[in-house]
Amino acid sequence: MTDLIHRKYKHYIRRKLLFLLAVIVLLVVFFFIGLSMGSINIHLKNILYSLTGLADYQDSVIVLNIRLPRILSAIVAGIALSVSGAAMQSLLRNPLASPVSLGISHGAAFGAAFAIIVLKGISNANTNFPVSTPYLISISAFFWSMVNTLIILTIAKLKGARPEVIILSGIISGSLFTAGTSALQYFGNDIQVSSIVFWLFGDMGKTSWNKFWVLLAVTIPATLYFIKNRWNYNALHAGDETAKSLGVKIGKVRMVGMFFATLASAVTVSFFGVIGFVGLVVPHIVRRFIGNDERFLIPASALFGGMFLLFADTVARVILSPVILPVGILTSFIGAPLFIYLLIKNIGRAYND
Amino acid sequence: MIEIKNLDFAYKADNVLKNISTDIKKGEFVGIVGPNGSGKSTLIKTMAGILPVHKYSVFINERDIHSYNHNELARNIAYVPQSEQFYPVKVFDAVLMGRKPYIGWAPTKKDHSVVIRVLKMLELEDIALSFLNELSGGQQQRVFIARALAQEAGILLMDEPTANLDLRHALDVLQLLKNLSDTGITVVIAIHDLNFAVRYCNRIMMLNNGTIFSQGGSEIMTSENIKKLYKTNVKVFQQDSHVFFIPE
Repeated sequence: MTDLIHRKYKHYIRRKLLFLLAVIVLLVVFFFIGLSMGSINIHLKNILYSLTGLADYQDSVIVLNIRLPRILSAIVAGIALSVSGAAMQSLLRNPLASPVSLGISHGAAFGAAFAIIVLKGISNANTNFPVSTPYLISISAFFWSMVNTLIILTIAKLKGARPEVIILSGIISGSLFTAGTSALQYFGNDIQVSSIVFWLFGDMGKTSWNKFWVLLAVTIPATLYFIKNRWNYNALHAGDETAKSLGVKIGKVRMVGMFFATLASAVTVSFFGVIGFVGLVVPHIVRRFIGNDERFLIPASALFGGMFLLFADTVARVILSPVILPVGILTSFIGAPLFIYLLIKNIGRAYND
Repeated sequence: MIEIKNLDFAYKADNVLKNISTDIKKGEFVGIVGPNGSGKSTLIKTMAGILPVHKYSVFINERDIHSYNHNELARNIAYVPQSEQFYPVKVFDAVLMGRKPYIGWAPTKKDHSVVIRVLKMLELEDIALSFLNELSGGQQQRVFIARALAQEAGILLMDEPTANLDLRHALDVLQLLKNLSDTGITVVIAIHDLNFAVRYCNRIMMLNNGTIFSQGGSEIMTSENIKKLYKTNVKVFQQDSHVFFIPE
């Protein structure tokens, strides 16, 4: 009997590991498809040559300078958004927690609008040839999304890091920034307002190797922190009192976790604009396959998020080729119906609180 | 095992617990009774380290509760709240959570074998791979006790373990707790049902308005004491060695 329980349990765990493996395989497949497809299709053989430095100049430039940073950025951005979403949902015990619903994106949008209109991030704004300064816009977006984080965490700290306080602070702070963005837009000229609108579309085309490395430097420690704390997050599912009695330092785990989650998503949104639904929906898709166990949910959400955003961005690049759609539009088009489907189907099974 | 010295506790301005002092020995089964708002749950939570207490007021194994770190405390005290949030988790995983204070990077073979031993002890083997939220209230309570036992702590604190259970399951759980106390585990529960308390616990602690009104064996459960505590008249009967209470 003892052996039987153990065997059955191992079998149950193996299914989750298989899911992780399948996502990794899909990620690798989409990686090569992404490198291959675009305005010009490149053969797999030439991709491998490019990656090993043996291809001709044109293929190398396309693969290494244009597609590779974009694809790697899409993967890491997807990881950052979805792993943050999964962590936020666990830490706050709320299935609707995500970088967007906590106001991170609203803070970044305000920052971008602030940079474009107040700091003149779009120079020569009265001519037909506006010149943008993307780093100024990104830095301002990051700054203001971290201001949003600071507001949330300060209120949370004052009120004992309770989930409902954090969520309400996020919603309130987010709406404050939305009002700020609207006010700025009201005073902007046509070019500035359209620049803000374009910035708001999450677009992987804004990437560069520098942005990729910065994003990677934030996403890796955040993801490792979440993975390290997976047992704490599992304990939190049973409620704060039980978690505390199991040795979880509730306040610290929640505050540091929220800091990493907001940091990773703030950097992503500041670089690429608002990419909706990845942070919210990916953890829910993953839960359907492997359940709530954070030991698997955290790494699987990270990998699935990377794969999902890469897939969406590749579709965005080729669906109306040579026109490239901003991926933020596509994730919402895929994400919204999927989320409604999940909501109707079994989201209630996953969260009973 | 658990020593409490002049413990005061306040959520806001008013003290919920006032000058509580008691000494609970290894293997005792203590039932805390008292009217709603008398401080039963609060007292249990202060012993569990869930609510912050002043230094030198709660001692676990002759050490101030403040001197324990989180995991160390969880290896010495297991706590089961009155109600838990349910989420879909397999019984095996729910019990494995009890090993959290011991788990470094991943559970070891020992952690798995403790879980299996506890599952067998509480006759949960057949439902080890069922979802917790699909079980009956009695089964869920057993799973929570199993998780507490997986902590291998010498002290088990439970807040109203029979609150949501029918008669049979309530008796099952109380008998189980009594058996555990017989094996040397110190069990402290908050409980409303006086008949259950007097039948299963070695010691009754009567709380009233945040103070210990009286404590001892069944001899303290007199109709006078109960009337003072609950402002209700009860009749006390004794048959063989059992004491019963019936409201008048």
